[in-house]
Amino acid sequence: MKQQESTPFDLGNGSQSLLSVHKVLKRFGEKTILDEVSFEVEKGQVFCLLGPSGSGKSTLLRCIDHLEPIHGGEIRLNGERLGYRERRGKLVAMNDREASKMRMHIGMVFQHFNLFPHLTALENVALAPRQVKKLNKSDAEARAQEVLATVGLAEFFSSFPSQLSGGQQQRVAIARAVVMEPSVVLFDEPTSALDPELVGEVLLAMKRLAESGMTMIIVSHEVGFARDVGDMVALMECGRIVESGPPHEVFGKGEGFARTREFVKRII
Amino acid sequence: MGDMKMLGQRGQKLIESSQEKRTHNTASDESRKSYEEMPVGSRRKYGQILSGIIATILIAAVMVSLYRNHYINHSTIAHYLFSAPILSGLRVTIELAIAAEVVGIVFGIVLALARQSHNRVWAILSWLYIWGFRGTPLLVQIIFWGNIALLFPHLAVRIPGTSITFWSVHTNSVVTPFLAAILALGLNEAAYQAEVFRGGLLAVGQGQRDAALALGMHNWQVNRYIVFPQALRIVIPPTGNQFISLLKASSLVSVIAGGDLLSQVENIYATNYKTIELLIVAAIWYITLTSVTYVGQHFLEVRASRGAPATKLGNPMTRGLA
Repeated sequence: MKQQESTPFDLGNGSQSLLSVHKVLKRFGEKTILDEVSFEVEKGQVFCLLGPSGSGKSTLLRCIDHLEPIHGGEIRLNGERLGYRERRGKLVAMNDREASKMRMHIGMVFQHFNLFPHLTALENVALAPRQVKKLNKSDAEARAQEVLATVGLAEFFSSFPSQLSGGQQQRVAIARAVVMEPSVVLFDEPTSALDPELVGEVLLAMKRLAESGMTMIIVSHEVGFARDVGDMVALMECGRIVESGPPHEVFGKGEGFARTREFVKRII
Repeated sequence: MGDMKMLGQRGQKLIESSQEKRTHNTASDESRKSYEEMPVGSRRKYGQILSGIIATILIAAVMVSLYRNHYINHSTIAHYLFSAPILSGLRVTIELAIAAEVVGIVFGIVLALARQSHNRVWAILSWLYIWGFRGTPLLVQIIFWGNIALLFPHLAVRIPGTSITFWSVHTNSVVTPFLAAILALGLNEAAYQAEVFRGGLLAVGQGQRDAALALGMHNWQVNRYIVFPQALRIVIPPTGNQFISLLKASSLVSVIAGGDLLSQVENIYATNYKTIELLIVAAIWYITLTSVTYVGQHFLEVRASRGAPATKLGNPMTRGLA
């Protein structure tokens, strides 16, 4: 690893890519969770990650947002290294301020929504524009109202999370991430905690977001969504990306996607 | 009956079953009617009624015996309840409790945050403090602070190793019994409040912190806008509990002549020997203060429950009885 760090990473044709993940290594104790994972996401792409539970998909997203430290490799957004700074030839984890500045450009949507229960839907969405982007109160709320309306929640501004259905809560969470105008939004199994009849409304909100040109990385078991909306589909197993390609090839007649098809057959 | 015989067994069965059906129908008709006519009542709680009667008799018996007891002089209680020394002691008790609680809360928050800090030194210092102050009796701490002058007769600002002294006073002129009482109660309270706050901070899930961090908030903003408001709701009931304990524990400062309610009461009965009457006076004031605390706690809980799923907080005084 040390040798690789000293040689500058050749971005190659990925030099224009929005997000590049290069040989990322992540361990919990002795266990290797991410085993030199590499992939690139272009601007406006929807990148869908499939894989069995425990294969490291969620950890990968958390590492991209620097909610977890990594032990090797690098992650770059718009060419800038995420989570770490070079100091005297060594990599040092960013401090609190640097990390929070970096996270402004990355949105994240969680499996269990993680809305702030003591704030209304509107306050949940307006909080970061107000406190992080330092907009004034009325501007922040106007932006929040706008974005909440686009996910179909114009009538729920003053509802608390406990008064909303799971699908509505997750749409508030999407609005909360999108209102910061991030370069990329990470979705960590956004529909896994939902009752089946509520999945559709969340996927629809995600589809609209994709159509608006947002770059998205989605960890999900929604194969239909990956096929219809995804630009790239990748299969993770045991901390590695084992297969990846455009959905029409992966799910169509393309060769070399046997494991993905096998996995899809198992979960459907 | 003759007709039935002619119908044979099979026919009879048919008739029987149809009769059965009819009786069944009428039964259900009747029961439906009875549901409409009869209001739903509650079961008589004979056990509760019986125990209520017994309890009333027992309480009344105790009251009557206290009332008739010739060793208690009721007019003495009435005389001292609003007397100047008692009211002054009451004021000192209230001031002591509030001042000590403020010290306890402020210092307790610092200790709780230090305990959770990534900085190991802070975490260990906080642990040591809590260990020491919770591990020794409050009464010992009060007597210690009351006698601090035995350990440090002078308080001074000077350059160590030289004779240059900028400022020096007798400890006893600064650490009055009142200040010693606040220090003892407050510093002890901080150790307990620190644990209350630590519990509140731990109760706010990691998911909440993750979500706030992911929005680009830095640590202080995460605490200020996300963690503290949610922890507040959790720490109010145990903090109310602590304050009630503190109100009563403040009576311990009578051992260093703290001038509080119990000190005053002791001073008075030391001269007139109306011990029980004056203790009743003190008890009446203490229970009044704790009752006021109940009400205050109730309003704080209502204010902090924003966004929480509807819960019945109920009457502040009788909560938990319903």
